[in-house]
Amino acid sequence: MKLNHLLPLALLTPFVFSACNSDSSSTQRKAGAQAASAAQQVYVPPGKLDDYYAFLSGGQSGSVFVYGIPSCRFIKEIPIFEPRAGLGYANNPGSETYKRLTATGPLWGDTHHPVLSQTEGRYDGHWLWINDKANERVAKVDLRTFEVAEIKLVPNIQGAHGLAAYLPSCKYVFVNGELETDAANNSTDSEKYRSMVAFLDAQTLETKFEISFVGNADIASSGKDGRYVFVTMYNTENATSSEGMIERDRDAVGAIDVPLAEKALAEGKSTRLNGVPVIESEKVPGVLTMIPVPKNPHGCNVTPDGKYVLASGKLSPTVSIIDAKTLKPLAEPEVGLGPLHTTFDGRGNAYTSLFVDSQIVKWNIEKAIKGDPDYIVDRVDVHYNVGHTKAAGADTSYPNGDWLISLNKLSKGMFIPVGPAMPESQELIDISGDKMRVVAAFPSPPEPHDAVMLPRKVLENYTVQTYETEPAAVKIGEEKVVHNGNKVDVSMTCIRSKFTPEQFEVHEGDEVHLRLTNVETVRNMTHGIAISKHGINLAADPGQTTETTFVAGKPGTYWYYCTWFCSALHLEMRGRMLVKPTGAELNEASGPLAKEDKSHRGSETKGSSYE
Amino acid sequence: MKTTALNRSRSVLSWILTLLASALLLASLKLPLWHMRLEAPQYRDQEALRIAVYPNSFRGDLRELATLDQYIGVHIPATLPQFRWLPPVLAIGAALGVLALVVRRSIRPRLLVLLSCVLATALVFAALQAMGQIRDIGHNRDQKTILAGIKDFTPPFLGSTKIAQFTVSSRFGLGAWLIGSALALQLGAAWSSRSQKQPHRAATAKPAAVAELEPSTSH
Repeated sequence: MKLNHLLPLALLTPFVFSACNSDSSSTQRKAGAQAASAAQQVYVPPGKLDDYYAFLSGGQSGSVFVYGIPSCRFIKEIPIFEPRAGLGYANNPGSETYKRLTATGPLWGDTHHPVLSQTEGRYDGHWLWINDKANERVAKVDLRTFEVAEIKLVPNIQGAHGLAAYLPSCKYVFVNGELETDAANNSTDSEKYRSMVAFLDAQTLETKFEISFVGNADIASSGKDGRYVFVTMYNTENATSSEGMIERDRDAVGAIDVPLAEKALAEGKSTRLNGVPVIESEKVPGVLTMIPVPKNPHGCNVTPDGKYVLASGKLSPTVSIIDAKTLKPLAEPEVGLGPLHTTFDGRGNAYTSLFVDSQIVKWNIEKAIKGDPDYIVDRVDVHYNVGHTKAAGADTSYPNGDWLISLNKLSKGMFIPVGPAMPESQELIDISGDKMRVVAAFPSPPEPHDAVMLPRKVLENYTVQTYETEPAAVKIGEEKVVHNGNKVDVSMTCIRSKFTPEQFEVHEGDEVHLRLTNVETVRNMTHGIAISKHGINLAADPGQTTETTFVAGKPGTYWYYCTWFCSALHLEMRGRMLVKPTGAELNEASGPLAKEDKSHRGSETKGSSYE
Repeated sequence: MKTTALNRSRSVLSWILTLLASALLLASLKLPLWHMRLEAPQYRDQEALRIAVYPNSFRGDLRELATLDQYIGVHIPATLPQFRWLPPVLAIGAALGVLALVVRRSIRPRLLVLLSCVLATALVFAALQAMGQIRDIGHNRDQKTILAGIKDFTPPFLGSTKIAQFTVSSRFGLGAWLIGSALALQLGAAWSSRSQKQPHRAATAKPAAVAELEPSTSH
């Protein structure tokens, strides 16, 4: 009986196995073909340039990472709120970058939301703004040089979280105070807690005014027509415990009427707090409209056409669609578990990151509004727990619709093991077709929160490769060492493969002000100077002048040397700081300065006098 | 009658050619006579180094070359003797060309031929001097700073050669071509101003009358 039962099974077995085998090999072939075509999409041969810059916030690294897309190659880190010795950024206490950073807060930061400047609904490539959530700072990066141009502290807020540019003019950037305090922050009474949205002059980063309200503001997005800006508010309860913050079924999206706020300001309907005019929302009706949405929303994204603002549900599996002009809630389509952020392809589709599901879901906005059950277009798995997601150009009026980055919180198993502290993981997804395709993954230091992609062409003729000589630059032939009491001014130049002067003398305890100009005129010829036992390391790119002040140590010889490998004589590119005991006679004409016979050294820069 | 018409048109032609030659000589003062281009892996395409020699100066990527030259003990002089004498020679050549239009017609062809020969000689001399200077660049090197393995060399006066990591190519500049053309035009003017047996009064009077305009037309 048993045998009878088993016989057919035994007969079938070879077929089942062979079917399995052929199935798995065809699956393998298919996977191989898919991998090959994905590889082809992201392969950018050496010497060829990527189509996009991807600016990723560095999170607790305090910086911005620049990657090339689609190759996913790491290109550069822009240090902002944290020193980087290799770039000579804020690592020398006597330097301007150090002073600027410490004047606004500590030597670290938590960068969250990179924002690009726009003109007429497109990225103009001029500025990138970024916030330091932990220390309530906003910085502006000049994309001509990829260096910080400005850092300012935002008064009266704690937890500077959401950041966006006010569109279409980019007159302001606005930043959300996520963590509630009493406005003056001198009370521990939680009954007095409020939050503020601060509006900063986009160029000077001075806080021009703030809107104060009960509750908090999380993520920010601007309408496109200059009227409303939007913030998600997950703690309308104004609670101080996580249980309290999820108490209400509905929280809100706040819509701030910017022209109305400006009018109220002009009419004096504000009070000054730490030098900043603050508008209390209760006193100016209409300045803040709170639109109810399911509890504890997170992401806030205005569609490229400016018609809708989308609040991603986080604790609710929905995305709330709100009319960005009438502020009327239109629909709450279900998209999956833990929706955090939504981005756009310019073809009417939204892409929402699902933190809990570890997926990106693609859905059609108009279909969802109409209640069409087929509004979900596609889903793709990501690795794992995606936070922000951003499609190329999604913040503009004209998204590119080709690439999307999924910024995942957990990378475990994705890359070769490197101990318990694992890299962050990002995935690149092709969104040009109906189906999404994950084509690459790339690691980064901790911890990108958000990203923004800028077409290479926008910066092609804008970003400089050498610095213009600034008035403060030391010129060839004008190097000098000037003693003035216990202060010494050293004006130094460097060019392959020499520092001029190659030696200088100071007394112990002298305050040495070193100003170094890299007088190279060709691109990529960066020099650095490290001074032994004095903790000094500067870097200067071609044409750049950098400076620092330090105190000369005990008598002796201290070599300085070039820290950037520059030439065949790189190792010989060094000099001596000779520290003499107090009162000892110094050789005033210290060191051989520029050699006279290098007659072309002072010549004009490349190309300028050629044609 | 026929020779008169021919003489007149020839005279006008020689007048035009001579003025044109002088104009070209003057223009060449502002134009490069010679170009050198240096290409290496890290100095490619737009970043190739260039030197241009003008009648009175060097121009181009001189600072970068001075920086690189220290590794091979090379020293490009700040100035050349030609920068002093060549511009006046070209300017005087242009002026004499114009002057030839107002001298007696019978000696004009000889004067023009002489002028272009003198100019040509001066240019050949300048070129020979330049070849010597170019040779010196690669041979009179600072022995102390020489990067081992670079043998003495002569950069090309015309054409291309490999020196260390650089492919060095040289060619004449627009100024040189203009001077060459000017000499040819002067010879052409000499040929066309050669008169037939009986010079006609009218034929000689015309250019003389027009010659009064010269100072304004030649500058």
